[in-house]
Amino acid sequence: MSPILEIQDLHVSVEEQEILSGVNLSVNAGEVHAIMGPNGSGKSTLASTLAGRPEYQVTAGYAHYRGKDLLEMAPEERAREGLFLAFQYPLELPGVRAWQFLKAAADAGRQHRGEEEYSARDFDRMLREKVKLVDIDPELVRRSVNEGFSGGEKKRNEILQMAILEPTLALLDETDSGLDIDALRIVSDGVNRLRRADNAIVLVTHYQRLLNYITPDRVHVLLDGRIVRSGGPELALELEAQGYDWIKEAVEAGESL
Amino acid sequence: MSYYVLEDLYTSWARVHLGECSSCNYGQGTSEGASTTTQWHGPYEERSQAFEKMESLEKDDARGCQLCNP
Ligand SMILES: Nc1ncnc2c1ncn2[C@@H]1O[C@H](COP(=O)(O)OP(=O)(O)O)[C@@H](O)[C@H]1O
Ligand SMILES: [Mg+2]
Ligand SMILES: [Zn+2]
Repeated sequence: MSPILEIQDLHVSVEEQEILSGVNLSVNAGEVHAIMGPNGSGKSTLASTLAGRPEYQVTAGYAHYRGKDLLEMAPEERAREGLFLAFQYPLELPGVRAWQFLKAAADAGRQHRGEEEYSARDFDRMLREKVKLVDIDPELVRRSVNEGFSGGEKKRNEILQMAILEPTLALLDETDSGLDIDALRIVSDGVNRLRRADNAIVLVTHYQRLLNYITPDRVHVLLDGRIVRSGGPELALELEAQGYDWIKEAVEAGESL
Repeated sequence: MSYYVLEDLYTSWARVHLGECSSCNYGQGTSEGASTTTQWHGPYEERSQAFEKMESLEKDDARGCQLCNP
């Protein structure tokens, strides 16, 4: 079976400066991957590149999503093809109610698959189910997208969005700041409820703590724009206990694997 | 036909390529030698030699490149 996401020797620059220097990564269906690493190691750069943000220039390597060249796809095409990207700094859309936004997003995906748009009634029914599934306050979807949302509410909205879109690949970039215990639980419960045999989730995080609630299949450590260690969930525990310094030292000493 | 193996020096990952694959570029890769994470092996004349080499690296994630399907 071919992987959902296949990245090979990816080099990315921002303003002529190389940030990612040869990332290799494959993500198979049914897997949850955690990408960890100290601040400034390039985690968000990797996420932003996969999202197609124009300031991130790919200078070498490739990224394939379900066998197609991801880097050639426009950002909205990525979304239609089942790629979901949740970001550190979510958009605020004053005057657009969360449910309207969610319906538009869900309909775009349906249209792309040659299906009809949701009727108001069907959408409402589906929305109620998902609201229950991710356990959020139904009042949230009647408010303007992210406007005046607390950090926890933004996370809830994001997880709800993911539940509705049922992405094949979800990429969550979780910032180290502003994730209180409540938000941690929302994200981790959401991920745990939404992980399935036919999708994959890549969790970018600075936070070992998040992995107390989610057990990833694979953990990757990004350091200076390179994945220098990959392993199972035990790697996250090691990082929790020892921090990143021992990895830095091992890498500098030229130890591999 | 020539074959190459791309090895990740840090993680348990390797891929076999056809020499003419754009991401292999006959063992040059696309990053003009800038990559410090990987090493190319080859060329090998036979497909089987390249796969044998890859197996000898004992990587968990080892397969053919998705682009060139060697
Ligand atoms: N849009 C950008 N403009 C300029 N520099 C950037 C930009 N994005 C990332 N960088 C630089 O790339 C490096 C890695 O940043 P980032 O990917 O945000 O790391 P992380 O998410 O692991 O903390 C940093 O040195 C940062 O300053
Ligand atoms: Mg970041
Ligand atoms: Zn190839």
